[in-house]
Amino acid sequence: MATVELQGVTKIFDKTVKALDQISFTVQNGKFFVLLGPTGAGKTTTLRAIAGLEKIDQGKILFDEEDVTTAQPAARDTAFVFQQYSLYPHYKVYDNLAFPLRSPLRKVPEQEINSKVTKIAEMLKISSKLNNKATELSGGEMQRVAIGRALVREPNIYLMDEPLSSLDAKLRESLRVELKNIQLNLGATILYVTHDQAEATTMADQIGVLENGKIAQIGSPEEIYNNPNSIYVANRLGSPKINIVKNSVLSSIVSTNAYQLGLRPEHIKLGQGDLSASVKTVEALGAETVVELEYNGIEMLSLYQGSFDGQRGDNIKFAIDQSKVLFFNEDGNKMQ
Amino acid sequence: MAEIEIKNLHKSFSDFIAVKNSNLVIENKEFFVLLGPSGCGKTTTLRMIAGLELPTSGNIFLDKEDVSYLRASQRDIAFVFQLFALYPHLNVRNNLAFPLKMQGYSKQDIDTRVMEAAKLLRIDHILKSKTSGLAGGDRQRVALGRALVRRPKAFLMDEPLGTLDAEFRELMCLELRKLHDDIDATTVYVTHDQQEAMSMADRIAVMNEGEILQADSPNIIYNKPKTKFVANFIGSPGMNFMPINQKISPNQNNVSVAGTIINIPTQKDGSSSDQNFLGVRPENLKLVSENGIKGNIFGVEYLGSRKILTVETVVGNIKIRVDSDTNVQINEQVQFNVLNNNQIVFDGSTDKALISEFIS
Repeated sequence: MATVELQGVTKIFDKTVKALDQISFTVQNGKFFVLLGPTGAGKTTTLRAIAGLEKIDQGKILFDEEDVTTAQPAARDTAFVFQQYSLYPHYKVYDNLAFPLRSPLRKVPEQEINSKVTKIAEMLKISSKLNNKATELSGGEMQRVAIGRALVREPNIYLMDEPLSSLDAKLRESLRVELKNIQLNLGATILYVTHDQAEATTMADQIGVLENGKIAQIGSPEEIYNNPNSIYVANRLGSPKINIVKNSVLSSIVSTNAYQLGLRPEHIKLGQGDLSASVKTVEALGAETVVELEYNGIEMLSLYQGSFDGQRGDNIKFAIDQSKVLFFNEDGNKMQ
Repeated sequence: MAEIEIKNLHKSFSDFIAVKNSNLVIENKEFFVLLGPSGCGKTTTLRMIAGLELPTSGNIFLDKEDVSYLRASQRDIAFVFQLFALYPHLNVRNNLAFPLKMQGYSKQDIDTRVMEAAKLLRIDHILKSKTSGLAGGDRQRVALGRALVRRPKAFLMDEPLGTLDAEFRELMCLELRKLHDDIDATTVYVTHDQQEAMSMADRIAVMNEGEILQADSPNIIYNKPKTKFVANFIGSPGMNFMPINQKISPNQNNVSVAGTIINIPTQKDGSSSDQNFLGVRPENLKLVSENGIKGNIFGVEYLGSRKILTVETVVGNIKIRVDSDTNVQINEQVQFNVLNNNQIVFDGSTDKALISEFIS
């Protein structure tokens, strides 16, 4: 596998629309890199540019420091996993998995194909389905096969385009744990794009947050969550969402010349301290409770561990973990 | 103002039983959620309350009045569907006014009610826009507004947020709940999404295969589920189940799981089976340095305010919820034990929770 580097990659559609605007980042060999952004931020275009399916207008793409900017897709040797599992319906699972290895260009002996297919099928828990036709599988199983078909090869990089987004919540949760485990144990290089923040923070070694074709921030999940460099980034991670409030709202607690403050819900501690607010809504989520407070005329979300014993209209004391408050200027950028 | 009661409600479609002899009382002003996997009978139940489907047997009462066989239009109830059924060629105002025009309200009444609903939903600034150009959330608000203008006794909603993305759904949940609190109507809401149910409901009825398994507040449903199905369906991740290969007797207060002694709340009744399950929520487990169940870390999921660990053990993969600064790596050997006395033993033959000092 390879270290993949993008340097100032720009892609313009219809001569005016900048889909990618000076994108630079590096996926280190053996690491899991997630590009996080909403629809239209440029995620899929980035993957296609790396695979060679999209010609870029400016910048360079390097595989292990070798310039592949103008190389043909086949010469780049990448493996793509799409959102919609595109399997061969008339083939058995085994043959779907073996297909990439049987390419005449690769000339892999059948014995080696067999051992690779068996190993990957075991990792993805589809060993018992190897003789089923692709059409006889559930959605989750089909996506396992689609991922497996990429993993049987050892390309320069695996490019994954929201591969879990069409699955239901429980299945998505278990597959993301498995995919991360497999990646770590294989030492695979993965560039994974998604709009789902939980997928990003649970699997990534590094996250790149995309905003309108530009990279807004790159860092580990912890860095991006704890130290976002703009309000845009702060809003992308965290559920419930971070509270962004005007400086004046908390002036009695935090003294600063920052224009706006960011306060994560878990850093508002209910039932302690000497600030007082009224409870607007209570959402019991089981292990934790989201309590919406009204303080100084504004609404703030707080996160309480366990079951919260209170209801709408109650007055409640709270404290703020001051060391965790984030400061932003008028443009929404972080202040030091 | 509406109390909805269903009594021995039963619905079958030829040999298929969609709803089995169900009983429920939904109280006035309650936000009530029918929750379950697809095919569990939740939508059929809702459609019978609305009058869109007639029961095979049993009764439905709206404020004590038997409405079981009344037509939908004769019940003072508004239905909000999953899909945005809006008129694309009409602007927002006319979409909102449409149901009132059909019922022959005066222009003045219509204007008052449309403005009232629009303000409540914060769409009064887009009344003149065509609905075809609206964002998903605004379209959903218009759909809600069209139900709201009728000022019905009860709102029935069938997965109204099903098509929205996660970030938006979270926001809309909060708004729907506030709207409910502001208008004092009874809401019956159908969903398969446990998080939606937990975040909005006063009470949740969990359904499976046409049966109501449990109807309780979110906290009770989560902490004291009466069956293994409910325990597993609720929570993200769901409850852990560890096999116990022994019969449970009254007054028993510990069990052996994979050779490790685990404390449990003192049991009141015994089990009928000798193959049972210990149910523990991920946040009720903790990592320990000795005398715990041993395992190998398979996954570490960082989620900002917390981490979820997946531990491979001889009793299966176990999820543990820990603080986000807990430092463990995939492939590391760990041990864990219970954090408190909130465990539930499920009888292996009935899947029901056994009565103990924790759960009655």
